[in-house]
Formats: sequence, C-alpha cells, structure tokens
Amino acid sequence: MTKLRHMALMAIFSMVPSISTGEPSEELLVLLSSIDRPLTRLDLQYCQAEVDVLLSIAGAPEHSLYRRGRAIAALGQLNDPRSLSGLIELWDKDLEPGLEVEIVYAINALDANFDIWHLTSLFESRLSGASPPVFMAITRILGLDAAP
Amino acid sequence: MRAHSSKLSIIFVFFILGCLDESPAEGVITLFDAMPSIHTMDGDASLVPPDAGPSDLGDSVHFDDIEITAGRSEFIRVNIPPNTLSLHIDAVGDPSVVYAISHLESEDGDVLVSEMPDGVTITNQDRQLSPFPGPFKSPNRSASPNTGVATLLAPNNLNVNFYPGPWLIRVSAMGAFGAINTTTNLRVTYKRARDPQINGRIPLHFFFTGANGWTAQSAANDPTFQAAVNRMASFYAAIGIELTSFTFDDIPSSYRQVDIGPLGPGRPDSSLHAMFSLNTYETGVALFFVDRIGMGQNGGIVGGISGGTPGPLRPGTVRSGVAVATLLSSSPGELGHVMAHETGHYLGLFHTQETVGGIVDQLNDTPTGFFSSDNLMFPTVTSAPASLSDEQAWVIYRNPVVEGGVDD
Repeated sequence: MTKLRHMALMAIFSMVPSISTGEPSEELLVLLSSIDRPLTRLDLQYCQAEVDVLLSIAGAPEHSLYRRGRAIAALGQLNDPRSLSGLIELWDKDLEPGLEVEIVYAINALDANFDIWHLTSLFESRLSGASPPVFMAITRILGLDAAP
Repeated sequence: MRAHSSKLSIIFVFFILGCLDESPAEGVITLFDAMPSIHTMDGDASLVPPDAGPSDLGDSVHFDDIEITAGRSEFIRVNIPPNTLSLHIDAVGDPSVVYAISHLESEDGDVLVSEMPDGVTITNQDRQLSPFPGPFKSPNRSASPNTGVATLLAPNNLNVNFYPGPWLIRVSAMGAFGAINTTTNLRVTYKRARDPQINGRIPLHFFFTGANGWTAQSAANDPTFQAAVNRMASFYAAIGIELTSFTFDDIPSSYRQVDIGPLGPGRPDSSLHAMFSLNTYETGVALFFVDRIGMGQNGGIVGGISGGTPGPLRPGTVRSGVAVATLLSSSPGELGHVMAHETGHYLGLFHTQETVGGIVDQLNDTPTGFFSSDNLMFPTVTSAPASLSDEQAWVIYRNPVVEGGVDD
C-alpha cells in the first residue's frame, strides 16, 4: 500500500463513528504494544479503549507482559471509577512484579476520585511482602523515598 | 567518571536469535572478549552540561550564546565544506524552554526546514501534535522540539537536496507563555566522506541502575544481557555497523523508576532527563537500563525512549541518552528490539508509521500499515524478526555517531 493511499484511508477511518464490540480493536492492541508512544486519553478514545476491554487484556496471560502492563496504565489514564475494583481484584492475583507496579501507578492516577487516606491505607497494607519494585513504587508515591 | 573506550568485539551467534524468547540462556554466546571498562557513579546528577570540547565525530563549528528574541534567532550562516554527506545540529539551552531547529535553507533557495513549508497546510491537529508543526511537516522533518535541547539531522531522507555551500539555520524557542527571549549554544557538525559509507562502528555506553539485576560488574557475563545486546547488534550488523567499545557504569538506584513528564515549556525537568545528563561520553550512544519509564502526571508508561530524533552529539545534556525499561519486557528478544529501536531514533530514524493518526516516515522503502511490524522502526515491542531498510541505513550512515568508513 502506498503511503499516500494509506494516509487517505486513515483519514476516512478516523471519520467513522466508533462502535464498541467488547473486543479490542486492532488499533488498541497496537497502541498497547507501542514502544514509546505515551498513552493519552485522546489516543485511547480513538482506539475505543474501554474499562472492561482493558481489564480483560490486563488479566490475560496470552497477551505479552508489556501489553498487559500498558493496559493497566491505560486504565489509570481513563480515570474511570469503575477501574478501581477491577485493579484491586487483579492485584490480589499472583502477578509479575511489573504488573503490580503498574497497578500501583494506575490506582494513584485515579486518586482524584478517592480520599487520600483511603489511598494511603490501601498502599500501606500492600507494603508488607511487596517485591522491591512494588515497594519502590509505593514509597515513591507516598513520598517516603529519596527519589530524584 | 571519565570517558574510556576499549576495543571489544562481538561474536554474533545469529542462530540463537530465533529462540531468544524461550531459552535466552541456552547456547554459547560470547559477547565480550575482554573485561569491559567499568565505572561507578555516585551522587546526584547535574543538569549543567559539561564543557563540550572538540569532537572527533566530524568537523564542527560552535556558536555560543545565540540570542533568541521573541522566540526566534537571527539566521545563522554556515558554510558547508566539500564532501559533506550531512550535518547534525544541536542547540542546547535552558532545560525549561522548548527549542526547535525551525529553519534550514541553502542560499540557493532549497528549504529543508521551515515554519511554513511550501504546499503544506498546518491544521489545529498539527498544532496539538507539536508546538512547532511547520518544522515537523517540512521536507526534512525536524521533530525534536524538546525542552533543553533541539536537534536535527540533514538530510534525513532521500527526497531533499543537500549540498556543500552556504546554508542558513534558525533556532526557535518557546516558554511557558509562548515565544520567549533566551539564548542557546549551537553546534553544527559536518560528516564528510569522499564515498558513501558502507560500514562503520557505534560505541555503546551502558548505564545500570540495578534494574533486571544488572550492574556494571555483572552485566557482561549475564546471559540475558548478552542475548539482548546480541539481538540489538544483529540489526546493525545487517547494515554493516559493528557495535563496539563498550563501557559499563553504575548509576544511583534511585533512577530505577524514572518519569518523563510533566512535559512542555516552563515545566520542571524530569528524573529521566537528570539521568540522561549523567552521560559524559563524547562518542557513541548511551543506554540507560531502568525498571520503569513513567509519563509523570501525563500517566502511562513507555518501554523505551530516546533523547531525541536524532539525539544530541554532546554528552551531559538532558537528552544525551536512550532509556530502556526492563520490568515489563519478558525476553531478551524484546529488550534487544527496544534497545535497537530507540538507538534508531537516536541516530535519526522516525517510526515507519505512528500508532495513531496516520503519520508515516519520509522514506520510500519502508512498509506502512498495522501489519508491517517486520521493520525495526515499526513502533511496537516484539521479539519477532525485523530489519532496517536500505534508506534507513542511508540515514543512519549520515549520523556522525557512526564512526569509521571511507574517510578514516
């Protein structure tokens, strides 16, 4: 496909209203695997990212660890209150430290919706037995570290 | 810490690459045939760039304390000598100001970069993309309007005319409230060669925070690290470039989780940029290994990031490196891919296609579409086979970071 034709098709597709199917769009899967593109709310909306779809990807081992981590991070970006219970439920499972770290940051990104004491209590309850990266994430967020 | 290079060679074991995912430690991988140089760095990063002395990367000219008034410098005239393949420009200034190389024009009237490129309409969407959309949409894309440092490689595609003679350069700057009065130090480096370069070397400098259990002492003998570097090296070996002269440094573990943001002019600088400023090597590319690269208040994470497209040639700036996050990369194949991809940006390559928005690179032989992930610069994390195109190699060889070749 020539670049000109591709750009024209992208322009046309961008005008088509999005229809939610409950399944991740191809664009969303690519976005979540993107190496260095920030996860903006605008991009997530363009790719029809929804809470249930993102939670489903985050919990699915058939997706790469990186994509699952970006799905969790995207939940923080969407800042939908419905994400909290799903994220905590996910955190209760036996997860790789990298995913746990993303849950910590995603919940923190939702914090505008929560009482700061609730948030602090939630994080402190998870400090015991936390892996080093998770411990570092929590202490960074709670301001207990000496991070640069 | 002091720059030190030791000539080390890589023995590529290509047959291993196909099974990196499943068994990274299998097989015999001999990456380093001698102990690398190892340094340990303590203390905080300084955001003040060290003196940028003469470089052996090419002929360069420096213009210090260039005045920028109401957001624009005067035109700076450089006379590009014969046999010049390319020029690399970096403008270093206040880390809270966004700079851009906003104009590059020959005195014969060939405009490679402009704030208002001929035949291009700047839309509101373009303005959201970049504070300097004109340079981004110019024939020779200028896409590093960054806080602290702006860079440009020209030519960065085969569709523009570049030749010796007098050229004019302009630097623009934007502060928190728009166009600003400030200064910048400009360096223009010419890469000269009598014939096209078909082989070369890139020195690599590795910086370790302790992420993935890697330290300056342990990494050289770590099978996962070796496999990742081998995977990275394979992309560049395929276009005739050897990764060499490795150095290994430890940096404070507080950089294991770094943040990029908040972005934009007038904002305080980030921990990522403080980390990049720890690179003091005059040559090559510096790779920093961390657990996680967060986007600060912007939310989200990335797997890797380059200090620029291209990155600056000088060390010690807030853009002088490439960062790679290890916590979510499940295999050395993925890690090596991200290392090679971000280094590709540092050398001047753009994504073949952006994930969103339909933006593509300016090269003629790179694939587009969501199923073109077999190119290294397609922007997704993968351990699947990928490669660089001939035109991407053409761009890389124009970067003065690539040493050696015909004019040695």
